[in-house]
Amino acid sequence: MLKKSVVRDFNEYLGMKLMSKSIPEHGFYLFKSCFIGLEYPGAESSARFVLDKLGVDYYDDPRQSCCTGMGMNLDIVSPLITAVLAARNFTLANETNHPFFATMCSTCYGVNKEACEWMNHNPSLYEQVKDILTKVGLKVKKEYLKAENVFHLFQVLYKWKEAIKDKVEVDFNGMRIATHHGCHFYKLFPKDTLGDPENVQGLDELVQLTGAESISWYPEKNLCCGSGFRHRFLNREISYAAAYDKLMSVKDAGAEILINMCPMCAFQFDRSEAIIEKNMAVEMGIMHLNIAQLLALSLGADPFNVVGLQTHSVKLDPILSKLRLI
Amino acid sequence: MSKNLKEIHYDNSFLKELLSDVRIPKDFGLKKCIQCGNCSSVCPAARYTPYRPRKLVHDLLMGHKESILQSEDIWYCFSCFSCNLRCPRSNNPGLLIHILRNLANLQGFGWKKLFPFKNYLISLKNFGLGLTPFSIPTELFDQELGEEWKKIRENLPEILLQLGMNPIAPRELPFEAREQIKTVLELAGIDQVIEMLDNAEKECSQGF
Repeated sequence: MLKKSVVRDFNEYLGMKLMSKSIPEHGFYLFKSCFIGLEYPGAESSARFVLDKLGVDYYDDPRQSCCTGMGMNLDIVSPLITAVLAARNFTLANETNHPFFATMCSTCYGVNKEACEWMNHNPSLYEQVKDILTKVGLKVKKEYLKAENVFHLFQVLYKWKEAIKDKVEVDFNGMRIATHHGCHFYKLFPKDTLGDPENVQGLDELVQLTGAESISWYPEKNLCCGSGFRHRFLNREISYAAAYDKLMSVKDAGAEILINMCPMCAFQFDRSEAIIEKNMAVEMGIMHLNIAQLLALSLGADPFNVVGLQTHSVKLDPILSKLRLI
Repeated sequence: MSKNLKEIHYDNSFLKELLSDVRIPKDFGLKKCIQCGNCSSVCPAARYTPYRPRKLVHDLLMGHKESILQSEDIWYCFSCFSCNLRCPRSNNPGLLIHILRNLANLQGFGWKKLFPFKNYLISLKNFGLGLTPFSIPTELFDQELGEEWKKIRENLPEILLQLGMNPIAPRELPFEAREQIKTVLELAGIDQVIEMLDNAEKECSQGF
């Protein structure tokens, strides 16, 4: 008989309902993403809109630094640099009594969790980080560095599902929407995913709140967006090849919109779609939205003054006119 | 046969070096790999490039240090960690890749793959944000993204104002915070990395 530890036991992944119990309702440190601010600032303003509308207590700290995730995955940032900035952000969050990170990017989520684990398992790294932060007057404590205190913004919204349901103003009835959960959300720490990490349904459940039909599964659901960090810039052929397979699978499933929760995925899909259509002589016509943008729209936010659709490469006019928003 | 077996000399210093990295979790299963190939079957890099995570782990366990560090294959990984999700033995080839790339750099390989991103570090040091309009090597894809994207970039301050955000893209940290981050990063050795990238870039450009 095989040992239990060898066989993958799906029961070890708690059910979604049980898992969402571990998500707090208040006390979030809004962890802003530098990529979102640069390419899709509307996702950030949508997040604030939705959180304000729900009455979630969160802190928007202008001192918060970047997580270094991009540099880490481009192999130019050392673990010490990542750890020291993570520890700084955790210290700021705890000092302002908002110890729970709500990140807007899957990579920010993964990197902050990873950095915690490194410091908790390597006392020498923790001491090094502590020494550096002491020199600038920051007092980091071991209890600040908890991987379980890191959440993605969409998990926070999941927790507030019922309240969102009551507040929906714009009905997306009749639309078919597929989702793409960013890889670093469910592949780095599979046990912390809402539900089964091999078929994540968190975003899909949020999509259903808007009245739209969610496409819970399509063949390439677990495929990476193809950005691959360096590949988006240096090896574009393979980057586009992955995005082509992904988007074609979404198209074949009959989706009009693909929901993302990570700016790198959004950039890869939204900015590359026209290029791929031209290169491969196909028509895709898939529109892209961050989950915060979708929920902001359904809660009645202005498509341009709040949701920021003017920075999208694939225009969302067909959807807006269906919803009678333009 | 038995004589030949006795002559095999296995050097595990490379594995020890690899596993001593701070990023390796306590229960890491590299040595428990059963070569099932789950990693290669879900790997996007295995679908589109010659890289195979199963083979990488096999070669690592066989102690093929030089060929791995010099190979192009380790630079094909997409860093999606699909291998980590599917591995039944708590191994993580995606994490190994990042450690191997760092080790390859230490031996002088792969530097050319890092130059284009040097401004990321300069931006991180000065603004506390890795991605700013100065740090993305836009010349690498400007043409493909076309005029419309350039216009979005140019109009970003106006768009940010419209969204009720700080018009300095992407956002500006307070002066004290920027100074604090700069000091912290200098103490963590960011200048040495920037200098290494500079030197390697010069050496490479002279070589051509």
